[in-house]
Amino acid sequence: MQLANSIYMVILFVFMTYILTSRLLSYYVKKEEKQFTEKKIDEKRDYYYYFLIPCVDEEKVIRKTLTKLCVHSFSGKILPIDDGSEDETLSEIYKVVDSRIHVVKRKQPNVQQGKGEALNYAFSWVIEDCRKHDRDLQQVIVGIIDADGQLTNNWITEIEKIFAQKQYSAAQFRVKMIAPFKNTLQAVQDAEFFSVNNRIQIARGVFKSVGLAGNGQFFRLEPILKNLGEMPWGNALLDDYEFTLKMMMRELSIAYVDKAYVYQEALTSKWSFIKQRSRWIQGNLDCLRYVPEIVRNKSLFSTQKLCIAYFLVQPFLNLVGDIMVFYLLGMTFFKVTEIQQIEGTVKIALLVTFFFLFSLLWGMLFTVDYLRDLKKNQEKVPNYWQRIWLIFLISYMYILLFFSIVIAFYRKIRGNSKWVKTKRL
Amino acid sequence: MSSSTLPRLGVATVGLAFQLHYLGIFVLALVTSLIVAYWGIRKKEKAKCN
Repeated sequence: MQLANSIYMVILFVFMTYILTSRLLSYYVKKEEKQFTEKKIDEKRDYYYYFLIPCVDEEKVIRKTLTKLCVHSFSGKILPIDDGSEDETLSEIYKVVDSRIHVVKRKQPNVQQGKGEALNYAFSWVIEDCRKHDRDLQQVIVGIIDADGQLTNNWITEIEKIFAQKQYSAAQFRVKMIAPFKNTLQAVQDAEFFSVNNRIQIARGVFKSVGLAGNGQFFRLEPILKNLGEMPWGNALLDDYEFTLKMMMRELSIAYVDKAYVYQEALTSKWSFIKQRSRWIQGNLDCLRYVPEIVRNKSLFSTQKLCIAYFLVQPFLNLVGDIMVFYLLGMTFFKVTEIQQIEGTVKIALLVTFFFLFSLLWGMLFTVDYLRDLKKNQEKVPNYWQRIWLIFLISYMYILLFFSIVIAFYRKIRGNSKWVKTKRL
Repeated sequence: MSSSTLPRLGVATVGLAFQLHYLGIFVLALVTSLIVAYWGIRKKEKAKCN
């Protein structure tokens, strides 16, 4: 039990250090931003945009996504990538009439090979189109949004601000779940992305380690083509982080934008949530293949290597940490009941209550933080009961995620790397 | 000390040890994160100057 306790304390220390460092650094960055007024962009750039939107059975959301995107005034093309949809995705796409929309269809037997493959296919379409129209590659920006992704109205202003700075090759937008929420599981995903991940990304910015997410990412075509070639995505199930690693190893900087967001639909079912997270965790494990290259890489800073190491070691920390929590909790109850000679269920009940309430501490802190972020950004706040349940769900999320971790390791060990698509409800 | 005090002390000690451990880890994490954050900020400032 002593060994388990020590392991648990080490893991707890790592988690707490990470959360506190993110908090401190994001506070510093925001304070610094307030002190300096934003630089005005004197030169108006005429960027040409290509939006890549991977689609597999997206009939429920794609029309709305395209309609919302077409409202924005920009020069470019919107490319929904139909990756072998079996529902009405295509007919829903055709219902949106806009000259910027060009459907990219993948054909059998190449369909549904993973998001990375679909993006590579569309990317080659983009390169061909640029060559055909003799576009200045410096002025071409490629954006990737999910089939349910919706950008805030200020996205063009924010993109121009970022790419006015030569050092950035890519940008990742803050992610926000679409409200109002049907249940607390949706609210917890929003708290995770809009509040917790936001702080982590701001802090990563200090260490030049911002991670790309699958939704709401933009990059300049020229440096990607030059450094990563015509097939920049790999086949890891976490295509976005694999892409991040490749960029970092070639000294390409990623900016994080928290003033513009990409909205997306949160999952409502626990099982879909477990499946989605198991895919992400397995994708994280897939990225371990880059470790030797990362270790050898001389252009990466030590801080970047530290951030990457933390990211890649997370599935292991979570797996061991969860097992230790279950084991220690069980052993503690066993010992206490032994000391008490099982004389009263009241005492055991009191102890259970104590542990249960004590565990809610982090849930409470994160919930307060999240609600403050929502109010500050004038976003819809979850209803009263969702706010209460949020504390419990954040605190005990690890129980749900434990299943994802086990599934991910099981699939990885079995060599099953099939893309498990999250169904829209 | 009555015979029933010992088991009660036992529960209290388990609870206290748990809390002290937790508090100790928290303080250690806070100090470490302050150092890491300071390191990051200094690196950023240096890069800005260059």
